Amino acid sequence: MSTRPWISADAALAERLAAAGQLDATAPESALPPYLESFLAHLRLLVGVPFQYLVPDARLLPDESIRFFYLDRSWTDRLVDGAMAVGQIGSREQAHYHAQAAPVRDTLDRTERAVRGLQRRVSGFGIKPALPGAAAAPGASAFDALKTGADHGPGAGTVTGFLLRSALVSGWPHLDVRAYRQTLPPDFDPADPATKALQLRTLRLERLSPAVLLVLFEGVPQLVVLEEPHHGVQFGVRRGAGDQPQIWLRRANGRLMRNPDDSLVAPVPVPMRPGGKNVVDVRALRAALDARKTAPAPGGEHVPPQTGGGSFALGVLSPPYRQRFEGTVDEANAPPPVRPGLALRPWLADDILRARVARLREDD
Amino acid sequence: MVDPGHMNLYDRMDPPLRPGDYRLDVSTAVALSTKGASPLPGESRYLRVEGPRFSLLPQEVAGVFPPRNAVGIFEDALPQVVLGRRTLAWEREADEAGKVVAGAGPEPPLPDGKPPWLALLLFSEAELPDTAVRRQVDLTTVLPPEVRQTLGLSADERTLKVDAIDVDAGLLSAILPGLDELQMLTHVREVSVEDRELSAGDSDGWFTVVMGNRLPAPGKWRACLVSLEGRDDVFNYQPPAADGLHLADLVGLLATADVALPGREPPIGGRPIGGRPIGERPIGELQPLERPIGERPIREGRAAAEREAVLARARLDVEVEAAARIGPDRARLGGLAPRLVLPPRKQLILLHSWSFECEAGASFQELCRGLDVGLFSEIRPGAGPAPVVTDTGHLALQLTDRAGGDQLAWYRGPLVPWPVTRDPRGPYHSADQCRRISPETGLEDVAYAAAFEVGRLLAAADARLAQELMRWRRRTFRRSVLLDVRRDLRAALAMVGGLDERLGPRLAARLTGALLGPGRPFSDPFELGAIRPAEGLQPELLARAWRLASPEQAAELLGPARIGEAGGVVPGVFERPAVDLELGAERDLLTRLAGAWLSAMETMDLRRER
Repeated sequence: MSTRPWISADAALAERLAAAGQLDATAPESALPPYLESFLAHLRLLVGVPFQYLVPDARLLPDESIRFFYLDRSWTDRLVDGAMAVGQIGSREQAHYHAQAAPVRDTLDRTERAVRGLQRRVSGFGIKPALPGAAAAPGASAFDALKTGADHGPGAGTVTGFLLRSALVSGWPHLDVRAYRQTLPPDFDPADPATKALQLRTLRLERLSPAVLLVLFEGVPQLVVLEEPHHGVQFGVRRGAGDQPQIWLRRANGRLMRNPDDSLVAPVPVPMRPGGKNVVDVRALRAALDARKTAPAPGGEHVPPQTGGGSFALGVLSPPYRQRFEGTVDEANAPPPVRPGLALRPWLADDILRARVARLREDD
Repeated sequence: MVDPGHMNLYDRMDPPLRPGDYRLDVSTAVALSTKGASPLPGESRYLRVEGPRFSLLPQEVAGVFPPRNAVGIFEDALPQVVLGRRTLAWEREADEAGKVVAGAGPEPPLPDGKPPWLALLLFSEAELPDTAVRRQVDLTTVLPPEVRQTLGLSADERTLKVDAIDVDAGLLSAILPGLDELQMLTHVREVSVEDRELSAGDSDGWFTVVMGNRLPAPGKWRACLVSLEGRDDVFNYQPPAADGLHLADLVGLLATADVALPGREPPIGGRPIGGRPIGERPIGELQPLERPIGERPIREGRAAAEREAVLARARLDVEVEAAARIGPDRARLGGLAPRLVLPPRKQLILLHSWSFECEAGASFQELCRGLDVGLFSEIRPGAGPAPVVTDTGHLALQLTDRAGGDQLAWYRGPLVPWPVTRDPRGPYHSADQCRRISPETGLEDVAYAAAFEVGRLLAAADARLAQELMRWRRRTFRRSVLLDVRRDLRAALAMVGGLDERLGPRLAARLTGALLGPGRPFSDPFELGAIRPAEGLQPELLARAWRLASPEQAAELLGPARIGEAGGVVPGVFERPAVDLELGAERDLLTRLAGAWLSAMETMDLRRER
């Protein structure tokens, strides 16, 4: 009969039942206890690793510097190996870890993405973990909840990041850091879904000391942005030449006024009241702002006239400053040396072989 | 509605009804075609609209900047306070007299509407010490009589307690925004309530924002939201000297003045002795003080102000002289002393205040621009010998090996300037396994060995982790043993594999129970009969469940060596008497069962370990 299947259900069942071992769950299970898994995932992101091991020489990270890097996966794998070596007293434990190493590695490749959510005590996807110290629900820990939130794509992507040692870290404790996989225009809106899709996941963002910030991203960024913390919308001035207060002209839609060649138009100096008390002469500033008004344009692309408090507020609006770092040279063709001593050049004169990261432009 | 992340700014928002007492008159006109107009009796009701006036509940303040008690670099920031009510600033008037006229003045013309009654003033710690912030004082001591008159206070309101600040009048006039400036410094903001900023509590997304007009310098500051309702006196205040009068200067002068001038009569009624009253003295005759009062320049370029300043200095000169003369006899100071040593002060109603500290330092922007940007392992030439770093990011370090000898070794942390491949060999079980030699230099590379040790030490330092690790291993071991036992049992019993995963352990438990227990039934020493009723072993049930043609087929599937029928040597418990056992024939099976039992015992041991 043509409709007869290759094998009937009954026959398949009988076969399965008859062939001993088919249902044997002989594969060793690799489910790690949540605490262990969480510890190792934190370790993967260098949580707890002494700073000297990250920066073995202080001159590698001088004051007021930012250093970009790739994360050496082998190094972090060895960290995990080392942690697993605790209590490895005999061949039994060794054999055990040898069999478990691969699944453990794969598990951690996924779990490490949940670490930041765990550190912040929120899941990035709206799953609230149980409060620390609260009795864990049987079979489901806060960590499990977090892991189900993190997406389970293929693990082990490239991890990059930077170390920042600067007064920026101590002076602005909550500065924003974001990385994007492609460069974006100067006035981009970080809340835009299209922009969000380009953002790299931040794996770790932590102050190691009052002045040192460590950031890890998943993927290779083309654009890294440092932003002043958002404490509400602020008002203020910027300092120009000679510490002279000035403000940049803003359009009615809040964006900075630019010349056709995309450069910023000349700023308005801020007049101060005499008396040396740092008091802004509001009346004069208002007149100066009003003198720079332009003809109305659709979409608020003009500098508005000074009609009152709202337009004045727009004039002295001082949104968080945003510093951009962009990659400039594509060094994909330059073969990187892979072993120490292959090219032992202590002073590193050859710039072509070096990957460069440079600032391109600032963006208010 | 505002999109998240956006905000709308409005110049002002006037309330439909200002606070006050109102009468509501109702009259209804009814006209009937037959009788003409016959109005219904009207009615009057009184209503009162209330709003914050002399105090402001903390809940009304939705946010402040710079943050309360914050320490940071705020030199370029204008302070602001965000109020959770959009009409608050326009509910009362600072300009009762109507001096600000819309459309008047030079370009740009002044906007419509009355100026708001709120202002945010910024004082340094020296300008407004804590003692000058007075809590819960009588309202009448704060407001001068003419202001009380203007406001038309009720009897209740006159006994109110309010918070107030007490500031130097000259300073106040130097930093107080003008009436027309008040409008520029206050606006209404509409934000999305989904926006995390400012969306405190059950806010509707509308806020009044009052901005200060003063930039803080390094030091401690207090920002004060004050009420200017009806305060003509502070706006009209003419400073005696732009910046000159300071209490400290006066006190200093009094302390150093020569007070011994005997033989003179004390002043009467505050009039200086010897010489004409101040106003009559020609300016040209006035001698400048020997040391300048205050270091700050007098307001420039304005003749009137300059004259005012000179006059004030002269007045001060004379008064100081007078004070010096009356010094010895303070009991008869009369009304002079307070006027002398206290420069004029003003009291303002304080609605809200907070402190912050401004630090000196570069701005965020300057710091960002000044950053030294590079890849990790880049070394800038500088003073002193630079460390030896290779292109690969390896650093040469002195290493004391375990034999005690010194050697040079390479080390590289987890942060590298190049993308590197992941070591596919592994896992490693000891740090020595991770040591590498770089053949080009003949030096050892201890990077991964160091990583291993760091991981090991970090884990060993965590007691709970060690326990968890052990538990994890034990669980795996036990599971592995369990699987072995099950397999052995299955093999021993010659059963069809995988009938029921749980059958094996259950059987093992029963077996061990039976073997260890006190009363072993002769009839069925291994209690094999106990599992006979299992559904999975009933050919009839199986045939039905699997939709087989007949029970025989199921029996065939179950295999020839079924429980209790293996060669007919282990009979059904309830069917045959125990004496029928033929031990010889059973020996083979018993041996295998004994092996299974041993495995089961191991399981038990493991469980006991736990």
